[in-house]
Amino acid sequence: MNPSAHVSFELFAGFPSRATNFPDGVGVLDDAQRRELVSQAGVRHAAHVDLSASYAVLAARAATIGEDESVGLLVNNGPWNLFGSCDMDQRVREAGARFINPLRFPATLVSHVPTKVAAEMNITGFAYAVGYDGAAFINGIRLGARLLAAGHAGTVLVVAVCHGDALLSRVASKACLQTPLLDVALCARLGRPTGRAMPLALHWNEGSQAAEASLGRGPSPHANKTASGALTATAAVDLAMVARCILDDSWPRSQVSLAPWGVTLEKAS
Amino acid sequence: MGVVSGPSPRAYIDWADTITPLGEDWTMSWAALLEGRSAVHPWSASDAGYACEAHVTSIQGLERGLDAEGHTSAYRLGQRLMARIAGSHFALAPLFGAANHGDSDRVLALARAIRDEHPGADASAWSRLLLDPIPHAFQPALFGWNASACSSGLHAVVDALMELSFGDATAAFAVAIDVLSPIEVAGFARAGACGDARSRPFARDRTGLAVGEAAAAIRLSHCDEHAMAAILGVGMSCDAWHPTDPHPDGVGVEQAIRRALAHAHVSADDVVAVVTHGTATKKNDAIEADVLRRLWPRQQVLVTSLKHCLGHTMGVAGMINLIAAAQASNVGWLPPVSSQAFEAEPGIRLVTGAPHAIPPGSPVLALASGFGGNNVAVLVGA
Repeated sequence: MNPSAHVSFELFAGFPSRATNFPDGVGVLDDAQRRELVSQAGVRHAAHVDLSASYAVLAARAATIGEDESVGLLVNNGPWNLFGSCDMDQRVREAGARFINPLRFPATLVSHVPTKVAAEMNITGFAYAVGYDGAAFINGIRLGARLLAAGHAGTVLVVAVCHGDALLSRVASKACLQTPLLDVALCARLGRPTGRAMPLALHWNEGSQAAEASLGRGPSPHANKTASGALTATAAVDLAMVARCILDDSWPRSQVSLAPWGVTLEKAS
Repeated sequence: MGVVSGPSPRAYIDWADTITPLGEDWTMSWAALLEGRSAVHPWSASDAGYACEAHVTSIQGLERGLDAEGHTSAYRLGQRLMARIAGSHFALAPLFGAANHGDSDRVLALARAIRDEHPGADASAWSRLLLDPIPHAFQPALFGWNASACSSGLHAVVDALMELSFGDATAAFAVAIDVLSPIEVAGFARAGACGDARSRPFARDRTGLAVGEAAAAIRLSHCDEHAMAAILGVGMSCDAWHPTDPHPDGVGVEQAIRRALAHAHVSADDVVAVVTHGTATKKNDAIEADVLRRLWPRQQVLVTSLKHCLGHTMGVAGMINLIAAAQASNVGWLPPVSSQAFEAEPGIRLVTGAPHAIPPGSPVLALASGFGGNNVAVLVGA
């Protein structure tokens, strides 16, 4: 099977979880809820703790990996280095460059998120950030399928995170984003299925394949505007919402085109 | 982990170009590398708040900071590189890119805008600050973008190889961009990684790295006509160890090399040279030298590093290592670490003083490692 055209995977929700009615419960968390999630994630190197890494750990952990699995990890690129960079800049302004805490330096890189997850979960195949826009999760799934097919890992986890901490929310507000930034963490697991999560198949709409229904971003009955506050996790939220509808039979279609992303989703056989 | 399946059919590097502190194009940079000429100079932060003792390399004439349209220096450098690709006489093909600290203009502007409330900034200006604009310098060819610190450039090569192996395209571009960032220079300085003007990788008395900047692009295709070299094998690993330090035993670096060799079906004894990550920091070079001694215990492989001449060009470093490895294999000359000989780490066959001849077409390995423990090894040859 050409991994460019068809990918089977399981979708895990780090949070909000099925228990909180994901994805219906997707939204903006308050500071106390965020602190609780950071605590649950328990990321080492306290000086580096930030929401994106903690959220990514929770999502990847939901897609439990066995000790004998060779695993690679892809996480959506995003402004996850803003907090670390702004924090460092403020410190420089207040005290001078000689007083920067070097332990905080890695958090000025976007790639600190995947490598922190890798360190937490002993992922030794590869761990890097991918994508540059709302399609990052879809791009990650496609790349992950190819890396899997090429033998670079036996399992690939593709994680999508977004969070709305005070700094990012303030920027989003200034940028007049349609909705507040969502707090979300999802993980697609590619490779040997665990049987514990949503079994799904993703097709790229490059042929004549016609979906039975379509999710769009316009004024259609199936339009989704909720995810606009999810930045580079936008496609992930779209995908999760459609997946939930398909699997719960709450949408009378078994195959749905996610029109903005050029893919079709269906329940895996 | 099993043996990685090879790109099928074979992928070739049939075009490459760079913009580096050593020259406006790859021809100029390669000539300077063969001479062992260094572009390292003292850091003088235009922004006094980030003043610190460090040495750097820089691209001449690159305008710093945000311009009137809000474009960053990395974005402008990306546009220059894209113009090279457009002028390369090759049709545009899917492009996969990467950067490391390239967006620091943006985050510093953001930090200051937040602090100062920036009353003049409109919503579109804030929108530009929210997401990384650098990839958009490569539209309309852009297919993918990644970030993995200083291994970003080689991960972009892996991404392009995947497109070539499994996509419909018959060619793909990989690009990498990084510009000097005050955050980066100050961060490395405070981490004790910055060295003096000599910046000599694998020297016994090495003091640390010089932060650098560059842009690089390669074209991969299935066509071997006029190719610099073939991609023989690729290996990746992650130390899963520490945010900044490599694993002290070098297990990740060794694993990536072994995976690349297995992928290529080539034994370590067949490799004639290694273009190392070789940063000139005490930790990296000690660990990398250990790995080289384990894999080539009789010093049967030639070792070089480009970072004395170019500085550590961060996210671009791996891609420049790959281009140099391909060129070395193609023309049969391996560049020296520097124009002057010096006492090196024991047990490795470091090339210093002058270029070293190698059999044309022989396998040469390119390495890159990044913060967080990512390692990539790519083997090239005829």
